[in-house]
Amino acid sequence: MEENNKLIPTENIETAEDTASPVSHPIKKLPLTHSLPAKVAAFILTIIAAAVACVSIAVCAMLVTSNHQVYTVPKDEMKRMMYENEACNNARNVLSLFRDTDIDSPTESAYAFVDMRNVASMTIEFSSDLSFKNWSFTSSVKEPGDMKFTFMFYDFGDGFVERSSSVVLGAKSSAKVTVVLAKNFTSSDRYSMDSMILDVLYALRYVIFVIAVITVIMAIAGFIFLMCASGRHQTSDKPEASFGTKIPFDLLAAGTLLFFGFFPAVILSNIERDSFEIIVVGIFMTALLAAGLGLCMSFATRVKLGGWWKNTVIYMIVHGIWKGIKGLFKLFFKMPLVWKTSLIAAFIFLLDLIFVGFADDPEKVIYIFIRSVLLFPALIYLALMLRKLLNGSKAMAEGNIDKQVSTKGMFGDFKQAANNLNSIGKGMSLAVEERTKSERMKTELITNVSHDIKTPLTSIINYSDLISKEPAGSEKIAEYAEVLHRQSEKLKRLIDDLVETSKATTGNLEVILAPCSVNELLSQAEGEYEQKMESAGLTLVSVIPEKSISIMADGRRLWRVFDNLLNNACKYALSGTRVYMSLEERGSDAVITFKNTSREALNISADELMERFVRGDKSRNSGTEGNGLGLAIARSLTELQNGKLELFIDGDLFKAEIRFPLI
Amino acid sequence: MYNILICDDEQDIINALKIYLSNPEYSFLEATNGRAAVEAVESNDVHLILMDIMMPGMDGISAMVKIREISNVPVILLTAKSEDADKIMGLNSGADDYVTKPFNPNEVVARVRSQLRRYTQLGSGTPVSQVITIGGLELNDTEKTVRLDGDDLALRPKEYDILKLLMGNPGKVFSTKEIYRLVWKDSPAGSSENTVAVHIRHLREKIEINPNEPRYLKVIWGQGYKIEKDK
Repeated sequence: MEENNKLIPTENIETAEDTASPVSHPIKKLPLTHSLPAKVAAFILTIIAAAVACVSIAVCAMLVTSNHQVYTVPKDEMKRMMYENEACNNARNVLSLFRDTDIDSPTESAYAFVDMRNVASMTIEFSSDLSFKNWSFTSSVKEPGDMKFTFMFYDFGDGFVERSSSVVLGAKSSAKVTVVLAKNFTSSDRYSMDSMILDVLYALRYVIFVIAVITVIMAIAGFIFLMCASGRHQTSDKPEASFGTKIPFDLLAAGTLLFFGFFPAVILSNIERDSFEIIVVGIFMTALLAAGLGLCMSFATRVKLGGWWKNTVIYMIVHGIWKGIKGLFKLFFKMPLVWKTSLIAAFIFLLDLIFVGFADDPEKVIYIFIRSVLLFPALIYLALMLRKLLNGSKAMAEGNIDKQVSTKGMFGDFKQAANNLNSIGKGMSLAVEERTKSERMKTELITNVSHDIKTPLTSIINYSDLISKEPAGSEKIAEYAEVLHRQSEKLKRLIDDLVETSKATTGNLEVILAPCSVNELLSQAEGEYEQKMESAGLTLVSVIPEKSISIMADGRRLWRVFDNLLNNACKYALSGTRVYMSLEERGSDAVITFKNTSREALNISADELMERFVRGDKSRNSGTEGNGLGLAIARSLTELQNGKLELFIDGDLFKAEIRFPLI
Repeated sequence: MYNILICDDEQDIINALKIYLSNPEYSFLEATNGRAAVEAVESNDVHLILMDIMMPGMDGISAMVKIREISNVPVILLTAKSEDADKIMGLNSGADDYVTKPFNPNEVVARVRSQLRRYTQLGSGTPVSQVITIGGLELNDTEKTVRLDGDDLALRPKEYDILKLLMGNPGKVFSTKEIYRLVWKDSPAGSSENTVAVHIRHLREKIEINPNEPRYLKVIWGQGYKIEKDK
C-alpha cells in the first residue's frame, strides 16, 4: 500500500516535466563558465596579466643579458653614468647649434634647448682661436644640484668630437663644456626618464622575476578558463554560436592580425622616439593581445560546435570546387544514355585526331580513321538498344507492368533481354489482374449471397412478427415468436455489416473526399445521439472548439465511423457514466477522441478488440446487441479516407482516437 | 378502392405484404415476375405497385421502365439490394420510393399510404402563393401549417421556422451556425449548435416515415442540412 502511494508522486513529476519544468525543478546552478560577467572579468584580467608578463619577461631578459650591472653597480653610480652620457649628448647638441650656419641666432636656440631640460647651468669656453664668444646659461628657476660634468670637445676639421684625454694632437680648436644638473628634476626629459626607469629597475630588480612567473601563470590560467568558457551561455547547457562565429575563421584571423599587427607596425615606424612611444606601443601591444585572445576564444567556440573547418574561406573554396566537379559528374550521369555515349565517342574521336596529328606513319593514320568510323555508329547502336531496355524496365518499376518493350531492330542478346523483360511484365500483370479480380469477386460473392439470404430472412422476420400478433392460444408461442423475431433482426444487421466490412477492407467502396467541417459533424452527431444516450442512461459531453477545423473526408463515411463509435458507447458503456467526445488540433492533425467507461471489464488488448468478430466481452455470447464488426468497419473506413483510428484501453476506460491531417 | 399490384417471386412475401396491408380500401393484384406485372398494369387500373428487383425472367427495373411507358402509377421498389448504387439506379429509373428487405412492415404501410394519397388526392395541386410544396410536404405560411401527404403536422414554432427556411431554399445546404443565426436571430454561442441539431432530429422524426433514411430533410454530414429539391 505504501509503495503504491510512493509511486504516484514520482509519476506526477515525470508527467509535469514536459509542461512546466521550472516549477518542478529548482533552477539548475550553471557553472561559472556560463556567466557573462565572469567571462568579461577573466578576459580583462588575462589581457592585463599577459601584458605585464610580456613587459616583465622583457625586463628580465634585459637584466640578465646586461652583464648583471644592475646587481653589481650601486644605483646612484649607475644614475650618474647615465646622466653623464645624456649631458654629453646635450653638450654636443648645443655645440652643433653654434656650428650650424642655417640658424640666425645660435645663442637663443641654445638657451631654449637647455631651458627645456633639467639643467641648472651650462657654460661653454671656446678656445681662443675660434670666432665664437664664450657662452653660458644659468636657469632662473632650477636650483643647481651636485651633479656637475665637464666635457672637452675637439674639432678635427669636421665638427666637435668629445675626447676625454687631456692631450689631443691635430685638433684645430677645442671647447670646454660644463653642465650642472638641477637638484630636482621638474622637466620631463631624458634625465627624468632615466632616473625613473632606474628607480623602477632597481626597485624591481629582484621582484621582477617573481612578477614574471606569477603573471605568466595568471595569463595561462585565464587563457585556459576562457577557452573552457567560450561558447557557453547562461541560457543553455549546449555551446552556442555567437555573433562573430558566423564569419569564416581564416578571414577573421587574417583580418584581425592584419589590423592589429601589421597596421600598427607601419604607424610605429613613423613615430618619433620619445616617451610617448612607450604608451603607443603599450596600447597596440595590448590591443594585439586582446585580438589574439578573442581569436583563440572564437576558435575554441568553433571547435566545441564541431566542424570548425567548414566555416573557413579555404574550406568553402575547396568544397565549392569539389561540389562543382561532383555536379559535373552527376550531370554527365544524368544525361540521356545516347548523349552520354555520343559524348564519350566524341572524346575518343578527338583523342584519335590528336594522335593522328602526331603520327607520321600513313598506315597508322588510315587504321585509326577506319576504326573511328566503325566504332562510332556501333557505340550509338548499343546505346539506343540499351535505352529501349532501360525505358521498358523503368515503366515496369513504376507499376506500368502492361508496357511491352518493342523488339524491332534488336538482335542477339538484346532481343533476348527484351523478351525476358516482356515475359516478366506479362506474368506480373496477369498475377495482379488475378488478385484484383479475386478480391472483387470475393466482395461480389458476399454481396450477392447477402441478397439471397435476405429474401428468406424477410419472410422469417415478417412471419415471426405475424405469429406474435396472432391471438393464439398459448402464451409461449408469442414468446417464442418474439425470440425468432429478435434473432432474425440480429442476423439482418450481421449480414449488412458483413457486406460493409468486406467492401471497406478490400477498398471496394467509393470514397469522395471533400472539405468537411469536423465542428459541424460533431454538432450533428451530438444532436443525433442526445436522446439515444439519455435512454441508455449516459450523458454525452462534447468539447468542440470555437475555431473551425476542416479536413478532407467523405462526410457520409466519416459519419458512419462516428455512428459506429457512438453506437458502441451506447451499447457497452456503464450506465450512469459520461461519454466524452472531443475535437482538438494537434500539430498538423485534427484529433477526434471518444471516451467512455466500459460496463464489462475490458480484459483484452486494443488490437484484439479491433479484430473482426471480437467484442469487448470476449465471451461473445452475452445478451448485448451488436456483433463487434463496428470497430473494424470504423477503422477501415477511416483509413480509406486517409485517416487513422487508434484504440486505447486503460482499465475500464475505452478511448478511440481518430486523426485526420488538417487542410 | 385502390388496386395495389404486388410483384415478387416469393409467394411468402406477397402473402405477408397482403396481411400487413389488409385494409377494406385496398384490393390486391399479384405477379411473380416482371412480365406478369407489365401485363397486369396493361389490363387493370392499378393505383400503386410494390416491386421486387431480382426476379426470374424480366427483372423489376426493366418491368418498371416498361410500365412507365404506359402509366405514371407510383412504384415502390422493395428489394434486398441495399447498396447506394442500387438505390440511386432504382430512383433514377422512375421509382417513387425504395424500401430495402428485410423491411419494417409499418414503414411499408406508411409509404404505401403516402404514395396513394399523393397520387390520387393531391395530384398536381395548383400552387398557391405563401404555400411551398416539395414532394408530399406542403408548408402554408399564411396559416402557419405544415401538411405531409395531406395530413396536418404538429410542429413547434422553432421547428416550423427551420422547415420554412430550408423549404424556402430547396437544395441549399445550411450549417448549424447559419440556421441558428437565421432562426434564433442570434449569434451562436456555446452549445447552441447542438440545439439546432436536436431540433432538426425532432423535425425529421415528424416529417419522415423512416428518419434514418430521410426523403426530404437530408443531413449532409460535416456540412449541414438541406431539403431536397423537388424532382
